[in-house]
Amino acid sequence: MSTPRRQKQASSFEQSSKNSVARRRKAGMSSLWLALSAAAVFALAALLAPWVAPYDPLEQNLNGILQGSSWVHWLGTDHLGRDILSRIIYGARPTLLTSSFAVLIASTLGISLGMISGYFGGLADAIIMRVMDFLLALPAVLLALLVIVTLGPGPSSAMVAVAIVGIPEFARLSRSQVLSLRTREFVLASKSAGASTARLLFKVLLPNSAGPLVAQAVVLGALAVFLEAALSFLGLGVPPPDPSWGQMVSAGKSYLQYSPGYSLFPGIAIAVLILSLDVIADRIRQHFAGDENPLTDAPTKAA
Amino acid sequence: MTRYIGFRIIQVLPVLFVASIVIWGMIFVVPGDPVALKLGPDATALQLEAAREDLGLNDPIVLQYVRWLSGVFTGNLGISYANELPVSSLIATRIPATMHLVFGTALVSLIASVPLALLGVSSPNRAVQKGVSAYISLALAVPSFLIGILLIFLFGVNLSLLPTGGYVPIWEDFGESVRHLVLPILTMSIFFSGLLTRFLKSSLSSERSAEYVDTARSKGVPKRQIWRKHILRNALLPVITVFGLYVGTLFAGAVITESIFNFPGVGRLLLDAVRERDYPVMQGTILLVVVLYVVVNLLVDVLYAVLDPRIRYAK
Repeated sequence: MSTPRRQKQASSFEQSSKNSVARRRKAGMSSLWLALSAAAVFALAALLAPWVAPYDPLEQNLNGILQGSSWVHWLGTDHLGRDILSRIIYGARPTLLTSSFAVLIASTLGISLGMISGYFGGLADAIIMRVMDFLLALPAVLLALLVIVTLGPGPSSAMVAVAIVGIPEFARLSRSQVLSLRTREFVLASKSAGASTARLLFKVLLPNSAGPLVAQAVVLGALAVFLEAALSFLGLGVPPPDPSWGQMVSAGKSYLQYSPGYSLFPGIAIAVLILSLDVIADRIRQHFAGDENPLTDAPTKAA
Repeated sequence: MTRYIGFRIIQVLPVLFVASIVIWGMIFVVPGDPVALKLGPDATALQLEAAREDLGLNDPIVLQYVRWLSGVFTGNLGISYANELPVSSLIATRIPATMHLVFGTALVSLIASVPLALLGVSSPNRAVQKGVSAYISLALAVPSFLIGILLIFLFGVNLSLLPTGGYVPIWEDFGESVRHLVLPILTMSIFFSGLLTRFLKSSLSSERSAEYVDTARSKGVPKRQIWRKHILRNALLPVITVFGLYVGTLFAGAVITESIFNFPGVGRLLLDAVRERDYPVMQGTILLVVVLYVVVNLLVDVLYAVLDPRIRYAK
């Protein structure tokens, strides 16, 4: 995209009435608050599961299987008579735990590698970025499956799989941030004031590249929720009888005719969580970048 | 042009080489002894040793890799642990089903995304524009397996209109084949069309303020024609790259969709192999998906260079 065109676009934006811009921003803010509260509800559900869940998620009741919604069981019961609402509340735990740890691992490793790569350059840069190129060259679902195959199915493998999927994007992003900041005045100033390499990296460069990295963390969070649920859906994540959303969707598939909520309610929980994280990530990115360019921020999720 | 293609092929080779090493080497990292797994729990130490010698697992590691790779090039991917059939023929019987799914999805998504994106950018009606944006957000956020289950619930269970599983090749019975493909293709297309619409929309809205549009307008070209002949054509170009990149990921996404609809494609083969720890089948299918992904990307890059001369002269 050429510079003159950019400017032109900006001027055409200015032409649109201030009123509609303000209105749009207001609509954006309310969707952000909605997304934040949805995410908060899930986080609270996961944290407070034993206190807010109406039933024990593992308690079976073979006299009351596949019930619809009622005052006793708000979202009905599954094929073993377990309370679906309680299982969804407890099921938030593996999803959120796996996703947050995966994001934590991916961001720590990815950002460190990217900053080393961008700051030192040379051979380290070449080696690190070729490895990242290779990881980026594989579709996310396939990379996750490859990790699962190598480590064996289970929740911790799912976490490692998601983390590895997330590393290259963090590395690429932090490297380009370091490269663009490295020669800026304030960095040169701290350097000539005698700041150590570690101080430069962690106290000067890292805080100044935080914006896009935080947005990327939320984007990866959404991808992590999807991958964890997909792996559980395929039977490669949380093993039964422990509740997990993906596995509930999959188990409920056989009972769609009698009790559609068994499959659909946990599925809706996954979708709402991913949608909220998408909205939050979008707002963060807009806040820091001013404009959105989806051609460079492609989601890596596969259909 | 040939130089550009050659250049792109040389760029791709290291990725394939590393991928082949990772896929082949995974069998040495997996927990447990694959030979013991193959022979079952009753095998004696002597039998294990004989089998190891037989499979060439006692040879130097480089020799083993070279032997495996030359097998790959001659179409010999080993023998399945689960049913003693050659992996290459197992895969060959599954490829047509996955191709139906992936190419059907690519076609449907492309056809759907052009009018959607045009409406999303140029519709005079605000509500229509908002509707397109909402479709994009939902299509990207709702996981494919939930969409699949919803479609089964609506069309298969409630209305009993369409079969919810299985596959019929298109050359055997066209009507039945399409009936079996509708739900799986729709499942994958909702995500894929949302993605394409999003890219095309942003490409359209940056092209609409280009100078050639002003020129066309001042010449008196009708608005419809400016959109169709000028803006859309230029906006489609960058989307081709994205299209290729994600058509490649559809082969991986097929694992999920095929498992929802009991669709006998390569994805199901891979998933079953993972569950049964059938390593030769896993290696073969993963290699196939990686190669397809890389080759599709390569083809799209070349196509892009054919369509847009600026790319090939820049190199």
